[in-house]
Amino acid sequence: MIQDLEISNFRCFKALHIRDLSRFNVIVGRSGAGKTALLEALFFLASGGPQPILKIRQLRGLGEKTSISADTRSFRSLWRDFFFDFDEASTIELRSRGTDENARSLRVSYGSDGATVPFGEGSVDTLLRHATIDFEYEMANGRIVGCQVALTNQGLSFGAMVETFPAIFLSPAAREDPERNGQRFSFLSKRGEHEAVVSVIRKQFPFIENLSVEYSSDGTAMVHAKLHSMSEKVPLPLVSDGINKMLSILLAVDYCSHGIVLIDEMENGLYFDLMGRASKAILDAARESNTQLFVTTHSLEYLRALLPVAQEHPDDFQLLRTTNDNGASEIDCFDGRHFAAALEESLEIR
Amino acid sequence: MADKAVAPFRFDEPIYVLCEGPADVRLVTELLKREHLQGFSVNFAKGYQHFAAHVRGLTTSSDWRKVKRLLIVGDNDTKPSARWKNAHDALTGERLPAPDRHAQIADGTHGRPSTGIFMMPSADTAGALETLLVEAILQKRGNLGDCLRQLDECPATSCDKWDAVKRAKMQFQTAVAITCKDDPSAGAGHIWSKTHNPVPVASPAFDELVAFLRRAAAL
Repeated sequence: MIQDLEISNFRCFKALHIRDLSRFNVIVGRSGAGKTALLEALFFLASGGPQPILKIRQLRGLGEKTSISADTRSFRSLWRDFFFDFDEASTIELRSRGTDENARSLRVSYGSDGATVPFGEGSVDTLLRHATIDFEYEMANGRIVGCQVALTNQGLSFGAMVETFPAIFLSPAAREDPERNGQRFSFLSKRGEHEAVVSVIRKQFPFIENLSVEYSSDGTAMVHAKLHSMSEKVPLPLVSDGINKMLSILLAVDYCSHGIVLIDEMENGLYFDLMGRASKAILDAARESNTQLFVTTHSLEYLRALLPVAQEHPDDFQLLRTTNDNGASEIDCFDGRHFAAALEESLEIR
Repeated sequence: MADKAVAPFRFDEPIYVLCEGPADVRLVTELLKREHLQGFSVNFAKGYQHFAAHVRGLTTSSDWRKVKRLLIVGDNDTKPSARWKNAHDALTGERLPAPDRHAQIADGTHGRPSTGIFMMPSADTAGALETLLVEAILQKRGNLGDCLRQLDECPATSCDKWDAVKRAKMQFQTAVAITCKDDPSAGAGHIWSKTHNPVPVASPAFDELVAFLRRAAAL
């Protein structure tokens, strides 16, 4: 588990140190205060390379495709807004401490080279200053490994990813791919461990008899539900967005054993009556698989639904509140007892 | 005062008064109005047992940074020293400064708010909110005192054997029942909106509490 996180020069964070992270970390704060940016920082740390940028652009609603033109400015525009106050001369530094598998630091900076290389046909107009950005990881054992993204005459080149720890980023802006859920479910099923997940879903939604991976009409393998009331199995996304979301989270939690699951806008798609029970089931699964959760929310309804779970397991909860008053975001941290007390006493914590 | 079931309590004022219950909130609010004191937010825990949880929750609240002074107004009940300690512990439990004496304001340190504790009816005296309310009623209607005493001593009752808090509550409800024509069953929280409210807000019975609030406002 990550117990401690330091962030410098990343997005809206100039310098930040978060201590005492827990199993279930609930992130609140006004829009634009840095909730999603915190998830992104964790995603970069876990991912062992720059590849998350593609997913993050998608999650941020910047489009499914990332296209750049053959010039340094375009290349830099991919990364520019990751630097605090767009200061590209600075170095982004992220550091997690905790168990060895999750402890590491990452430094991100532009490469110092400036060689001119030909691009395309090689005419003067298409000459390109070679642009690179370096991701340098220092692992818990002190080993340093690097990974570089370069814009070359071959196009954009991503270096090989270094050691990762499992991380999945779930966002309402980009629903989890049904095929990926199918793969994860199948992975569980092959180990004969799918019944635990099916049982949780069945308990919350008694009209579901069973879950299995089947091919849909377009040839995609995805999770299907056998309902008591229907003779044929139905693709789960067609049964309910909320059930599909809950399954996505449970599968992600299992898949990310000893890693992290990042959930942006947790409440999204969950029926109010389900929020508390779903959260309890997700916490139980996270404890079982030793997965750490980072969950953002704006919803008072969701927070209140968490209260009984936080009261029962205060040591598993941490509340993180992001604020941004003067351009740089800060994060206040509160343990599960404080989190529960504020909810119980009906005080505003968002 | 917010409806706790619907919306969380939000505030902008720098002085936060934490009372035991809604009836205490109403008295403090009436006294603030009487004195034209500004800058107070008044809220309640769910009983004295929740002072610690409330202060813990308050320090977690997104409005906490606005709090420059935190005042606790509670009842001594029949255990003044235990109730004082309970309120005191609620502050120290969150590493807040805490006053040494009743109605004293302890200075804030290291960005933490100054704090104060007022126990009703007054220092080291058994009683509750109703003790003050009865005192105020009797200061205005002294003749009611004889009635209440007679009821207290009536052989058909055993009120004289009740503790100070229960007797104060009995006396308050009796006084309301026989004076508040528009709502004889009005409680301590609702009495203020009644036409025949027997409790004079200007009563000297509240002066010590008012002085405490004034001191907090003046700092």
